[in-house]
Amino acid sequence: MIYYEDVDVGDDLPQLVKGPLTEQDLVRYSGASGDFNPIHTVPKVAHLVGLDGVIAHGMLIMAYAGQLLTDWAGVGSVKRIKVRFSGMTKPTETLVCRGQVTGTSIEDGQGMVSGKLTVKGQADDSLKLKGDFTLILPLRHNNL
Amino acid sequence: MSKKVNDGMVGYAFPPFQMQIERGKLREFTRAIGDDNPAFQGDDPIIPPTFPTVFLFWAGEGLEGALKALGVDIWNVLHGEQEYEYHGVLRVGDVITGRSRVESITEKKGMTFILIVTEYHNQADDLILTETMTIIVR
Repeated sequence: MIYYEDVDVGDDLPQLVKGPLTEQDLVRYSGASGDFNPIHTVPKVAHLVGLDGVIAHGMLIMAYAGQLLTDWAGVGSVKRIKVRFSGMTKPTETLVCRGQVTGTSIEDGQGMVSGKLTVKGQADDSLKLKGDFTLILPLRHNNL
Repeated sequence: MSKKVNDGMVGYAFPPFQMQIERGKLREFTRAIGDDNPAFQGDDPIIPPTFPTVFLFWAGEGLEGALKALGVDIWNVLHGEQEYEYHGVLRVGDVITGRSRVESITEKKGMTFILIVTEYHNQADDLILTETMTIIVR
């Protein structure tokens, strides 16, 4: 368990590596999320729109960014997560999720930790998404 | 260049939608994203931060429904940005009501940016989550 007092600006979150992605992962995520856009699952449709094969759901990649946060700070710690999608992800890619703390403050008796994150392709360092986040961490010494 | 999306849609409210957060759906989702955190398997687990995409697609109209209402072709859009801001926690068993609206439509560099904001209330009618989705029309 991580406490607010244990965190400093500039701290790196433990990296999270996901993948290699498979077509099966995209089929599973389509069913789980309900996003059945066929460019994620049907190669023929991906080709029709000018892609050379199926691509991952942006929201699947954002889910990995979410796991980066909950692995570190715990489930239920995420107050806010915002991402900008930058690049497509294809099956066979392995992804690396990274985060860094950019701010800490106590608001209304809660430990707030803000930071920035990226998800990149491991092989070519291509940016898949970047974003920022705010977490609520428990205080070790609650003197209120 | 004229806008690809009708300005008159700003403020448009989609029909509200409702869903109970089910344990089985949570398990399906965490397996799909490959997250085996045991905290998702407790008695009344809190959902992963991006789980609410399930609400939009399985209970709401999803991206396709929103685009249809806006008169936009799904093949011409990109998902630009996504934000979830929690005002509380959501657990298995909670019943959410989602209300989506078109927040803004702006033109930049020949592309149209549509912001769709969805507010989720729980069964006690507390606002628990605000979602902002940015769709880019090419």
